[in-house]
Amino acid sequence: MPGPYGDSLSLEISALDREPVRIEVADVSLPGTEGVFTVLPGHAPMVATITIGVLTATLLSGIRHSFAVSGGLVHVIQNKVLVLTQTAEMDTEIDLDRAEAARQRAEQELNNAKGTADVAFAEVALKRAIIRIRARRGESAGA
Amino acid sequence: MNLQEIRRRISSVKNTQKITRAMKMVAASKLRRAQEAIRRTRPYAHNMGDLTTILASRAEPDKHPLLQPGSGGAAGLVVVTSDRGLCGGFNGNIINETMRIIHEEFAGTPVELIVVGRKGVDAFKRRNVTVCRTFPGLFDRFSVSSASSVVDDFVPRFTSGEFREVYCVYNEFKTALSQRVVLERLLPYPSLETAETPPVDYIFEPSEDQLLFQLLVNNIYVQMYRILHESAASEHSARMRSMDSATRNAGEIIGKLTLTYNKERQAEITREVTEVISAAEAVG
Repeated sequence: MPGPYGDSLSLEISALDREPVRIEVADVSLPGTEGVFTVLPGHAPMVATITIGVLTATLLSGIRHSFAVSGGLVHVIQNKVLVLTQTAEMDTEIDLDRAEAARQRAEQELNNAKGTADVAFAEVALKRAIIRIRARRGESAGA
Repeated sequence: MNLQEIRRRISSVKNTQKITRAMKMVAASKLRRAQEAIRRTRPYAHNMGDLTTILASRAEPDKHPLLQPGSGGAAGLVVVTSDRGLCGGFNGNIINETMRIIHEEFAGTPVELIVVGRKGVDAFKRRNVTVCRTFPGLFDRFSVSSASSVVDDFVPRFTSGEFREVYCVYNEFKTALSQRVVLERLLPYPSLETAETPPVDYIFEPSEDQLLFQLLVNNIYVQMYRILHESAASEHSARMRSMDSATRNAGEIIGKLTLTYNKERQAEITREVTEVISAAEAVG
C-alpha cells in the first residue's frame, strides 16, 4: 500500500463546537462545494470550500469514520489535511433517535415556514438533520 | 468599642464573607466553562487566521478593501470590558491601557472608541471620553451573534471611509491566575510583508479571489468571537481571584475582631471580679 508519496495523511478537523480531532488516515472524502472529492497521500496543495455534508475518513487500521460537517474550508498541504468547519459530529457521537427527531422537527418547521423568509433557514436545518443521520449510518459523502 | 458593637461587626463581616465566598464559587464554575470554550475556540481561530494570512500574503493589497488602510482619518479602537464589576483590576487595567493608547500610541490621531461591556461604558462616561458606539450587556446572552454585532458595526465604518485602521484592546486569558492586556490590529488585515518561502502552487476551489474574500470576512467574525471568549474567561478568573482574596481578608478581620472581643470580655470579667472583691473587703 505505501505509495511514492507516503502512505498516510494527518487529518485535523477543527470546529468551533469541539476540541480539534487529530487522526492519521489513509484517505479522506470531503463534500466540496463543487462536488465530492477524495484526498489521498501525495495530493497537490489545495484550498477549497466544503458544504454541509458527510466527511468520510479511512483510518490506517482500515476502519472508516464519518463526520457530519456544516460547511467551511479545507486546506491540503504536504500530506496534512486541515478541515475548518463550524460544527463537526463524529458518527459514534450521533444519537440516531435524536437525529431522527430533529429531522422531523426540521421538516415540520419547513412546512410552517413556507412562503416566509424563514424558508432558507429551515432548509439548512433540515439538510443538516439529514446529513447527521447519513453520517451515523456511515453512508458515503455523496451529496 | 463595647462588646455588643464588636459582636455586631463580627456578624456583619461574616455575612460579607459568605457573599464573597459564594461569588468566588460561582466565578470558579463559570471559569471552568469559559476555559473549555477557549480550548475549542482557540485552535479554530488560530487555524483560520493562519489560512487567511497565507492567502492574504499571496494577494496584492489592492485585491480587497480589508487588506489596505481605510480612507478615513480616525483609528477605531474596540475596547472589551465586562458587564459586571467586583473583578479586581480587570476593567481598570483595560481602561488605563486605553487612555495610554489614546495619548501615546495614537497621539495626534483621532480615536473612535467602540466599547463592549457596561463597565467600560460607565468608566468612559465618568472620564468624559466620547465613545462612538457601545455594546452593553453583550455577555448576558453570549453567542456567535454577539461577536457579529460588533463586527457588523466597525467593518462598514472601515470600508465606508470612517476609519483608517481598527484595533482591539482586551484581556487575553493566560492561566486561571493571570491575564494580559493586549492590543491587536484587526483591520487592515495584517499580511506577511516578506515572502521568505517560494509561493506554493495551490489548487483553489472556487477561485483564489473568492476564497480570499470569504476568508477575510469570516476570519474577522471568528477572531472577534475568540476575543470575547478570551475576555470572558479572563473576567471570571479575575473575579475568582479577587473574591478569594476578599474572603481571606474577611477571615483576617474576623480573627482580629474576635481577639479584641475576647480581650474586652476578659477585661470586663476582671473588672467585675475586682469590684466584687473590693466590695466584699469594704464590708469586711
